[in-house]
Amino acid sequence: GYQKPAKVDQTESAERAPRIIYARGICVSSWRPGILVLINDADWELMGELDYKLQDQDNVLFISTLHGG
Amino acid sequence: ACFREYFVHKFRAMLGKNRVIFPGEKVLLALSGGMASSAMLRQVQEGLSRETAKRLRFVPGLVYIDEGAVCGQSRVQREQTLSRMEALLQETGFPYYLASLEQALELPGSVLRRGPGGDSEPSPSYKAAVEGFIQQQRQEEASGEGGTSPSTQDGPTGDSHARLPAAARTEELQRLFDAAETLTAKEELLQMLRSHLLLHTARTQGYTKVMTGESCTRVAVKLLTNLALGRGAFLAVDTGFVDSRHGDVTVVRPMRDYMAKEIAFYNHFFGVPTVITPPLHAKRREKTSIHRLMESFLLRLQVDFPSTISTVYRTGEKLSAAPAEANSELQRCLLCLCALDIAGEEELALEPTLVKEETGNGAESRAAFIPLLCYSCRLTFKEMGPPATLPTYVRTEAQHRSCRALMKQQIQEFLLEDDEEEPGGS
Repeated sequence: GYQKPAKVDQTESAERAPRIIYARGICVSSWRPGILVLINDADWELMGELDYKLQDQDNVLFISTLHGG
Repeated sequence: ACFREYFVHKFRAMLGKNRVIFPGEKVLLALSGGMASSAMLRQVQEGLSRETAKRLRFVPGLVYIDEGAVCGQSRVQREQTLSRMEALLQETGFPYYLASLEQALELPGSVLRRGPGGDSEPSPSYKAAVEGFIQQQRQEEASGEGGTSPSTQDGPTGDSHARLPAAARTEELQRLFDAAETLTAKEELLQMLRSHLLLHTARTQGYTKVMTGESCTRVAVKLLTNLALGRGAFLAVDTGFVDSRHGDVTVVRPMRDYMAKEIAFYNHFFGVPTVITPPLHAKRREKTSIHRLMESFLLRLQVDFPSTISTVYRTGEKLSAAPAEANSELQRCLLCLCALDIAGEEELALEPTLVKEETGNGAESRAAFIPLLCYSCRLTFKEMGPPATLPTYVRTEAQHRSCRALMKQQIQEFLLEDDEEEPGGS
């Protein structure tokens, strides 16, 4: 069945957000290796990936390195 | 700031260490619009614009191949992509060529033949060439002549206003791809057509080098994928820095030391423009390809073991290309131009398993192609459509080679041998 994706509210903890997340109102399918996640222009690995609690005004950016040139 | 230094330095070090690009040489940059090739373009731009002493010294041209026909793009989408790419290319001021994959259908048979030159020619020492070039430049400056810098050209040459090919051509190309039974065969077919088209562009426009933007990640994936495809013998040419299988045109991979992640960060921080297009279109019945499986495998492994990709890459670096062999066209694979790695009697044992039922068309039958292909191309060929769907240039070249082989066999007993054996029959 289709699970309604949770929206990542910037004031809420990232822990509650499953791997299916919205970014700028666009549903992003579950993260897979090859997709870079930048939080405020920094690699999310430095922030502990999903352990990081999103703060207000945080800028999250997804860059796919798959299907690249 | 230090990331930028590191990134730029790596590019120059890669070129400097290998010393295959001579000053003043015409180098064609193969751009896909993707991240790695866009970063490569930026490095070339930066490298050429530095002060004289440290400046890169070759003459670049750009080529972009529109593959939208096989990537599920509509004509409108392809037009849009082409416009964006053209704007990007025009910005650089370098001469550029816009091609479409459909043009691969019209290639001449000569594209499958190794060109003259390459390893048989004694090349001047790199250092001497650089010194000679600097001297020449000083002379030109002293006598007041301008150099042939890109900015003084009359704008881009070549097919700058080529638009989409005729719909009939597009359909023909799509039929060719649809006839392939597996996504793996399609991927291989795409790569083959793309490389032939690049080679042809380079040859006709006078470029002796082609730069492709394969990143470290891509090279590692390709290494293992090609191993699984049966191309173990050719890993060095397929993934190495230098690929000289074509003889007159050498393919160079300057981005092979950059991880995909590094490239992504660089592009993001320094505003490198990219034009992303969808990948090869896969039908529902095709689950996946060896290429995608391998990419997925390596990337997932990389998450928990971050040295995976670099380990595969470094292992691949230890491979070196086999020394150049005889130039006879009968000894190279029809499709990939690598040395034929199956000889003699083994072919007969493999044939029944590789060839399906024949309609008895003589030269057009699959059996006629088999002896002309290397092991992995045979496997790919088996999964492609009937030979009649193949592009004309492949079929004519195949026929040409089959005839020559037959002819050679017929006159074999009359040929003088080097050793003292008595000729058979009389």
